[in-house]
Amino acid sequence: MKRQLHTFVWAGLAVVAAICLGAIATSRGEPVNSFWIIAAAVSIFLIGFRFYGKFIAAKVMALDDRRATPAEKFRDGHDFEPTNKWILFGHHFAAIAGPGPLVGPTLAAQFGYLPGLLWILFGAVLGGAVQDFTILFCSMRRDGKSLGQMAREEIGKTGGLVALVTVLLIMIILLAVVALVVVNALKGSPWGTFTIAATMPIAVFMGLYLRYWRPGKVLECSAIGFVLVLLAVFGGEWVAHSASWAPLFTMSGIALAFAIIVYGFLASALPVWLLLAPRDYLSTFIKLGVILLLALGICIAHPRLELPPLTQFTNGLGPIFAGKIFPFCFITIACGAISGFHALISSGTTPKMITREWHAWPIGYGSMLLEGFVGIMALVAAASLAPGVFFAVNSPGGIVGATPAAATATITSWGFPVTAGHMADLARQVGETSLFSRTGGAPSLALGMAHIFARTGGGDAILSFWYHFAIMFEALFILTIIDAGTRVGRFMLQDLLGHIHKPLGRVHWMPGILSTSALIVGAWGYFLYQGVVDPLGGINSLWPLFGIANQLLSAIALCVATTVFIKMHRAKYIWITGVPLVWLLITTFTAGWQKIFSPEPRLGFLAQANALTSALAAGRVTAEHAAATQTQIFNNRLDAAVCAIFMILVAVIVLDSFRVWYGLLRGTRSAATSEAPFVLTQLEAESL
Amino acid sequence: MRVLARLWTTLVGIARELSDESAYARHLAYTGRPHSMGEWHSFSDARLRRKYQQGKCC
Repeated sequence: MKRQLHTFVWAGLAVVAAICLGAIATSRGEPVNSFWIIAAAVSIFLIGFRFYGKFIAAKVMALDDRRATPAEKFRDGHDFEPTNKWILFGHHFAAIAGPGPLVGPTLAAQFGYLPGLLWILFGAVLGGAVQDFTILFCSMRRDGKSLGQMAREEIGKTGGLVALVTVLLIMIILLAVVALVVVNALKGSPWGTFTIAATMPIAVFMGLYLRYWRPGKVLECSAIGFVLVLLAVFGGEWVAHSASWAPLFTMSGIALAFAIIVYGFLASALPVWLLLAPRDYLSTFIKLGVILLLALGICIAHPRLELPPLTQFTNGLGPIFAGKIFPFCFITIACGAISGFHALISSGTTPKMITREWHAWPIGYGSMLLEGFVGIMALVAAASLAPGVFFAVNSPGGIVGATPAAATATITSWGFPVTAGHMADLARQVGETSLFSRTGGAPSLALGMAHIFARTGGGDAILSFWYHFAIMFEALFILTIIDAGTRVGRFMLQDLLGHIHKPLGRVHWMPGILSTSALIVGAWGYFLYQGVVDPLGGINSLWPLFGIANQLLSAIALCVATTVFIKMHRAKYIWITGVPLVWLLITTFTAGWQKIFSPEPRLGFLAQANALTSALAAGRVTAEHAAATQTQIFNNRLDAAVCAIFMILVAVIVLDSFRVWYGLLRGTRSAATSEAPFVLTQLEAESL
Repeated sequence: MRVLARLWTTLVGIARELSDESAYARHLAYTGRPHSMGEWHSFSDARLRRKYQQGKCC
């Protein structure tokens, strides 16, 4: 009876998924209600979790709850600690959820909502969740080893070194691109800039509170910090309307870029308890709270999607970024569908805290599906904006025209009507002076979220509060990524430079701290500056570069997982990691090749450099712009070189993996694995 | 009601884990030392040092 009920429920869910997808597929020329999308996503993710995830856990990995996990074997009260399954689920999800699943789907909405939706649904189930789950499994069976260690031990020394260098390079591009998102969200916005600036003294106050006044009371301190941040959002409105204060916080893109660079340096060099850690605590709670709030808001408001399912920009001539739907949709949405960075988390803290092997199924596979759902919500929020507004906010002035009249005329000519008056009204409603050309995805996402929140309660009267609350939420946790990432980059660099000059490797030697912090900040700061001054908006070149890098890291992770499966004598199942690996290699190498060699100047870095060189030689560039044009030429060549380095590094590890797999499958290579030997668990059943 | 109570316990558990308060409680239990400012400093410094040797996810 129970079995029949079980079959009935899952069959019912499959029917719901089919009906919802059918409703989306057959709606042509009229807006679709987001209800269908949310219901389809929930059904597909649940089915994927229950059947595909469980199949991998049972048949391929043969998870065994009798086997002691690293948390039990090395229990130390610190890193290694058996933890409740759902608490660890929340912990792992908080660690993998970043701005990627929010920004990527928003940018990819230039193709329409359908490509991004399908890629998130199927990419997460068949790719992202598989990667996170398999790497978590591999690390758990190897005493909690990192991805780099596993690459070195399972594939070879080259793999480990390539993984380390790739991570460092990705980190630099990641920090630059997320900083650019913040700059574009805050430039010319005294309200937003004040709110974010206020979070810094608030974080320092929290740091001092935790250090000296109420040591250990992190939750209490975070609650106080949250109230202070809310007050800062309210205070921002007053600042924006103050004749004397508003100019102080009305900053250009370049000024904001330098402010963030200085902030990154300070956060990396200052004691971690003073600024970085309290901000991190605060941003983690706000992030989870807002994601929950957005889910509730979408369920209550269930807005219509105003964007069409497909736009004409599938042809590669989109204003937000250049490139056709294949491969660029799959590069633009990395986090939310499949993200290499997750492999670092899955082989970081989480495997050291798992109590039972079977817990890896909900934690590794389930958390990624939840992140996919966050991506779907971001897509809904962005697509619920009128298409004209969406493109007016996200298109750079260099593409649509620098004045409101020119921009609205261009966007209207694409078939997405919008007027300068409507944009001015909207800007006034959200407390901004202008919403044109706010590239990067954050402002349009904030607009969409604000409309959803306002419809849930409060109406348009508090639209401006919700808009700046959403901007604060996005900027706060992006800045946490910047300061934590800069610090991590500093450690990695110190580790590398320590081999050349020993004192540089010492993490407490102040000259070493300052010089390596400056090097890391200088590296991402340069790319950030390049993005800020780019007439095409910066996102056009940096986001695809980041997407390619992130997906290539994913390819490394899938190579490791495939190698482990073959060594476990599960070669008949290598399609599980092999199919997403092949897909990623095809998309990333195609995208990388096009970004370097495409003859279209907006798409190809070298083509753009050549076009600018020709313009200079032909005297079509005025003397005052000559130096800036030379810099642009250099930047394009630099981007091409960075992209090529990523591709070469990953090609090396993939070829190395093929060599290992060939030897293993032919039987000419030993299938020795670094898997830890079986140890019977001593934990009582009730303690699980 | 029991479901709600369990949900609340789990949410509080997640919040305590994310805030390192659970880890600190484990640290005190493991070492057998009482809570003090100095103890929090030594725990927090070591934990944060390890925590920020790993990148934040994008």
